[in-house]
Amino acid sequence: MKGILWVGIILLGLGPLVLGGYPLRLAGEAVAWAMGATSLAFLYRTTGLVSLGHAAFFGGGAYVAALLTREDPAYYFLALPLALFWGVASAVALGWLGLRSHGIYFLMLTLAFAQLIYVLAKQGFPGITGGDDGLTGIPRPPGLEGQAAYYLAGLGLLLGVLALYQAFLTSPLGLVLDALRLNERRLEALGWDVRRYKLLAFALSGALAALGGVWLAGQRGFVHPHDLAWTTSGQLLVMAVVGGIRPVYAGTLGAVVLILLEATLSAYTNLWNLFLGIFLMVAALLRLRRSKGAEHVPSGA
Amino acid sequence: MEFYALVVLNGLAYAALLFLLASGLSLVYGVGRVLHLAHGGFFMLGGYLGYTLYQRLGEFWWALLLVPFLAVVVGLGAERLVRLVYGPDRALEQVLFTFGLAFVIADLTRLLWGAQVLGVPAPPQLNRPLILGSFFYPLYPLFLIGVGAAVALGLWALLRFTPFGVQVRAAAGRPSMAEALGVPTKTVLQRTYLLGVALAALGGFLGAPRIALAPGLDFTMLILSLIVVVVGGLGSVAGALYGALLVGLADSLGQAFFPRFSLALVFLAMLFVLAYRPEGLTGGRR
Repeated sequence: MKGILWVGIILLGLGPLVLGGYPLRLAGEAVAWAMGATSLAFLYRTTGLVSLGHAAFFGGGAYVAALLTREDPAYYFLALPLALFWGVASAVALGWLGLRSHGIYFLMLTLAFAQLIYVLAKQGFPGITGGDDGLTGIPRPPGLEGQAAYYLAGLGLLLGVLALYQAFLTSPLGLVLDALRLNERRLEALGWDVRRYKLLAFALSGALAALGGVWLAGQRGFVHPHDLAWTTSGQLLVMAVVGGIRPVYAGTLGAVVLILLEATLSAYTNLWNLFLGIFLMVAALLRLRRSKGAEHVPSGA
Repeated sequence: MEFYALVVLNGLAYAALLFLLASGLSLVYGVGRVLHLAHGGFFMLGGYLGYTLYQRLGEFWWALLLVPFLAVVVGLGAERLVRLVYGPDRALEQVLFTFGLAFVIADLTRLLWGAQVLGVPAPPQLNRPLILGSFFYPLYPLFLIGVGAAVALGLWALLRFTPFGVQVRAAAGRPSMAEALGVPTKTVLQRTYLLGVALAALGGFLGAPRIALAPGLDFTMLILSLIVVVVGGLGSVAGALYGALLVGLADSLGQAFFPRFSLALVFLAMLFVLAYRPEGLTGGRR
């Protein structure tokens, strides 16, 4: 049974290669968004934190790639580590400021940070970031210029990330984080430095989001301030939740579903946001119903 | 000197609009523990409804009177929906749900009113300058400041002296205890929500002569009102007032002196308030 499932997934992954053209381009975008959404799902899964500011890491990674590689595609060797550094460094700085807060306050903190980066890119330094227009003419890494090659490389990268994610969950570190999400106070009472583990998870999440951003920049060939705006954070969050947020594949599934939905619906109607809105409300209610069901499980087990 | 007076007055007028929007957002959070991300949608909806009323009736003041009532009618429906996600420790679901609602409102207004930029002129009585010697200033922003002050006073009196105010404060402070003492928290919440929606819509229409109506206005205003309530302290009307004054004046001064970084400064302020005083500057007092 499981073998058939895997064959099906591999066929789905290779399908766009056969179709080519527009479907292949969509699939390329889906890979990038899947990395971003997975980073949010990872953060929630390991710490229970909800961020509404991942656009800062995602879009930030895209801008780093754009700024460095526009002159010469060879600079991808520099852009990739720098983008990852941006994700880690900004997440650590933000987490250092705000990891004592949680719930709605953490959400707003991340939102404020992302909007700060957004307005700086949009109005603050138009000479560097291209202001309202963003930056165009971003090349792909050498050797991956073709859409098919780029997509395959991205797919491999994504699968590698997911494999690492899976390995992380079963590692001793992953088990500590699992315990952290389940009962933070108890873990702290046992002598673990909870804040440091949260910071670590947040930094890893930021790095993964930045990687997704780099991939998006190469895929599309341009970056736009919109990539840093809070609607992008919202979109990533929506993808993670739609995919079910807990499973390792949640971000990927959510990204694929949402991108397919948008592509299909916007072919028929320009009210895509209306459907997205209804979709979100239904998803939220379904989540609530499920968590209500879970409340009946006796605690302390 | 006159230049500074102009900047401050503009800031105060902006603060009045922000307060109308943020006070409702803060109250709904205080009572229902839900961050109502669709609040900016009602601001925009108020503006568009007022625009249509103004076109039909040809009279600013009638439109001003009717906008809150129409908004409450829409709000009744929305409250039915938002009611499903009230409660603490549901941040993720609440964000998704109200974010979704905001998208629905945004697209429906675009469907009904189109995507072009619309505006409402200030009423003729206020569409002239105030002249004090050599100092000129339009009357309409002064009127906005007056409305803001009146609403602030009215809300204070409502919460301080009426039975409804007592119930709101009880439901916000200790919901389960309030319920045990017979406070109908569900009804209180509904009324708070409708009050917030009416104020937001009022703000949207009053702002229409100064801020053009266009798609995207809802999210712009939502973000600003989030800064306001966070800086002032979520759940408190006084906090919303301080926050609105701070953001309004900071924006006005920023626009005047360093337009490129004014918004960035406001977000930086929000970031540090959240990091060091998560309960807002008024700090946890109710």
